[in-house]
Amino acid sequence: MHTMEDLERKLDNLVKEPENFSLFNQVGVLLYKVKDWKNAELYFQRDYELNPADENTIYNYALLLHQQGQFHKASKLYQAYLEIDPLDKEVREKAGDCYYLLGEYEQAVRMYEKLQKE
Amino acid sequence: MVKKKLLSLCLITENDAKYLSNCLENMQEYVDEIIIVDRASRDLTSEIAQKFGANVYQKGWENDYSKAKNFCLNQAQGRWALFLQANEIISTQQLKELRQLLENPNVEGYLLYIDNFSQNYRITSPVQSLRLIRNRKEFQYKYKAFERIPDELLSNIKDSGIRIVQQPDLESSGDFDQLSLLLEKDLKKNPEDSYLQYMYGIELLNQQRFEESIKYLEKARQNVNFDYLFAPHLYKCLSWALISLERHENALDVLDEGIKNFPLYTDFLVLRGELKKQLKEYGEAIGDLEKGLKLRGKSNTMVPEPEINITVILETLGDIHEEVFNYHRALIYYQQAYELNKGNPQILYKIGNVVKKVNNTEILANLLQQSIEESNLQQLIVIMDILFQQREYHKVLAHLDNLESLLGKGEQTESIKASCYMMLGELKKAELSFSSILKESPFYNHMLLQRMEGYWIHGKWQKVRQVLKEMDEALSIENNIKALYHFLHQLLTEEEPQYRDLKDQEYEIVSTLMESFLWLGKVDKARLLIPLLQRGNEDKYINLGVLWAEQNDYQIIERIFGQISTKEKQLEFKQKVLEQFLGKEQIETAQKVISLGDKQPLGPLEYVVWSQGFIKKLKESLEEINQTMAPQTPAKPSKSLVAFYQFFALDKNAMNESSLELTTLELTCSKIHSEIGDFYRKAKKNQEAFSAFLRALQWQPLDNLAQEKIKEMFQENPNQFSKFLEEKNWFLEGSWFQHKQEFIDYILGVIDFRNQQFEKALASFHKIGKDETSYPLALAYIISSLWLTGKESEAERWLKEQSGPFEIVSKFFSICKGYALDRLNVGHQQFPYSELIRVEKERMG
Repeated sequence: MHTMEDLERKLDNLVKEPENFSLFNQVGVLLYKVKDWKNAELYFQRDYELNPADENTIYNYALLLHQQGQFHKASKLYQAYLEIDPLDKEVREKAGDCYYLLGEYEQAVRMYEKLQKE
Repeated sequence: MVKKKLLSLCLITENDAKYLSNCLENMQEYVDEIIIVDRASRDLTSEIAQKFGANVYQKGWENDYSKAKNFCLNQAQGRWALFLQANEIISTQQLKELRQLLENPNVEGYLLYIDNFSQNYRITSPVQSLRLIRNRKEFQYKYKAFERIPDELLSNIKDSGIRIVQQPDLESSGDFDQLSLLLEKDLKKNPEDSYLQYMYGIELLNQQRFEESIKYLEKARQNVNFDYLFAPHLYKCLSWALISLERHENALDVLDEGIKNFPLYTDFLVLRGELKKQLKEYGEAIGDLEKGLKLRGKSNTMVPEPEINITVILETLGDIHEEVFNYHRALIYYQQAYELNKGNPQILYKIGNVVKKVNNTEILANLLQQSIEESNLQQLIVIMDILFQQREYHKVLAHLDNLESLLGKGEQTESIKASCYMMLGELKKAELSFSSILKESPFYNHMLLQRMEGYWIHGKWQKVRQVLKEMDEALSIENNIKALYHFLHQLLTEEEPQYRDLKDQEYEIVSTLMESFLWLGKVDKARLLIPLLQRGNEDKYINLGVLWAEQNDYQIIERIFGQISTKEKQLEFKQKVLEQFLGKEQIETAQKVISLGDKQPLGPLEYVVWSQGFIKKLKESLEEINQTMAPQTPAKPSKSLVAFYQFFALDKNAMNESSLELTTLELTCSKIHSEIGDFYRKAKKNQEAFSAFLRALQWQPLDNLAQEKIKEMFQENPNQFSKFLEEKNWFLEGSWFQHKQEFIDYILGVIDFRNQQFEKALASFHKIGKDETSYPLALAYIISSLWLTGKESEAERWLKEQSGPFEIVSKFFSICKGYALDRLNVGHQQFPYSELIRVEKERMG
């Protein structure tokens, strides 16, 4: 109930500030919480378009896509994230898993290799 | 300064002259003083005591053991006091150890074991084992009889490991009555005292007055403090009384509570295991006993120590495994039990019995050799007897010299020789040996009857008549036995006698005779004896059934079964007979036995009979089709896939303990993805795990394990994985599937097939078109579904219609075999202890 109220308030704010990428991200997170994956994806996508260099934005969007079976797109985003933060082990592992799901074993090996070295 | 004495030996005596010298002679060197409180003996007790330098105090008997013992303690000057009875001694070696125990500053008292070789076994409390105590003023005994220092005063009591050997005192039986009377008086005074309630309960238990015993033990249980020395023993006595009255549920409650409160007191586990065995809950029984065994193997800090020793646990485990046809395990446990208790010939007989079942003659040969080398006559006699019973007459004859060298040559060995020759048909040699046995000999009558049996089985009817006459003249042979032999002769000479009931001894004679006929292959003669044996005790029918199962004679089995009146015995009969048929691969007869009488759960056997019958029928179907099965070479993985797999295999945290890393040679695409799936599943990455198992099936579509994993995951989360499949975001590998939809149809068909929803499975497989590369797989599943739903002729028609593609036959066989393996796996989960199911799985796998 609390989440829904929060969501409505943030959507109202978004009408007033349509370029506020942070609001898009927050709405995406709330939609993710209520398992509205399709709309969460739209808001994360918009957030990413407005703010493509933000770690949180990329992480949330990639995670959702990975979970939704969009492994190709998710892997690209994990790569983008790792360019910003190459030492993030969790994302490196997720990227490796994503490449496995895509059948790109060489890329998966590369991810896990680095993970092991770290 | 005078050095304080270390150990005072304390005795309360009364007319103990008979034993006292022995006791004091044994003890005097190891104690620093001897204190004797004598209850006005009328014999030489006092003089003997003084001869050994004891301080003897004459004290009028006040019907109070505590008073006497406390008086003794007050006189004792040693730092430790050891209480013995005049009829008790301790071995010299152990006395040396006892002195060392006194050096331990942290212990206040030691328990000593009491070995009593009296024939009248009595339950005694561990409180009576507290014989060695620190001589403290505050340690004062309470109660008139079964005196005890209150637990509240005692701390740090240890087990000494020392054994007191108690001579059975034939004159002391009146003492127990006196003790009981004193105990009753104490209990009247202190009716809520848990110790007195418990002791009174034990006394009633010793008199086998179970109901009354339970009343007192139950009260004690409610009042007892768990820290009391006797508390675990109280629980044990109560459970024992309940078991004796077959109040199994109540006994289990007490045992459960005992296990919870005294986890190191393994007797509870053993008793519960024994009870579960009686209730035929074998898995739980094995679990309890194995746990008990493990705990006993560790250094046990429990005081008092459990009383049931490891040998008993091992033997009981052997018994259970033998009962459930786990002969290899049974043999291991019996051997271990025998190693620890070579004085028990019963275990050796059990070894002999199991050795025969597993056809391992080496063990007996080794034991025989060991007996000869160690000149162990008792073991040699038992092994020779086992060999004789197993009709290994040549082996018995070959080792008779060894027996003679230990036993001496005489009538006993001659009678063995005569029996062996008689059974082997070497009648002249048998007669020669028999002639050396005199008529007055204790072996004569037995041998006379043996001769008769020998002549019967070898068809020497003239000779039988002669021996019958000799038998009639022998006055010491009982008339009923003579009548039986005459009757048997009539029966075997094909006259039609009036059948009669048999007493136990007579039954044994007839049964052995029948076995001898069967052993010689004279089945017709053996069959003549059956009506006679069917008039015996029903308990004997199982052995009779097993003997005829060896002959694969279903008609007789059916006849015997028809005469068993209780469901329980019918079940036992069926199980024992079935096992025999399975061992001889007589699967059709086994199936007929299953259908005898009412349908009954037959445990592991049911799975094995089903599996063997299923595979036999399957093979017969394929023989008719006359197609051979083509072996397939699994695809080898790429270097990068192997490298990826190795990250998981090297990660010890991610690795399942039971999973073994695959060697490079074993690596196939399917196996790698399957293993990766396991790693991902353990890491709770379900999407990745599901994909990995799917990929394993893309390379090896009939992989039973990967199929099972897919089925399990799909069952756990049907919506998530249906959606995952339908969205088709995964990709295809391998050459079996060209289109995602055909793969989806295949997977859904496999899941339904494994759930035994064959109609639904058929619908999915039928969606895969003839032009698809996976069509042979779908077709094999369609045929298998038909076959498994009883439409065998339709299935066979489909198979025959396939021109050339042998792979369909091979796939059909593999799918059906997988189905049988799954069913065996269900059996394995239900009966994880079953050797029969494990062996069957291995045979099939």
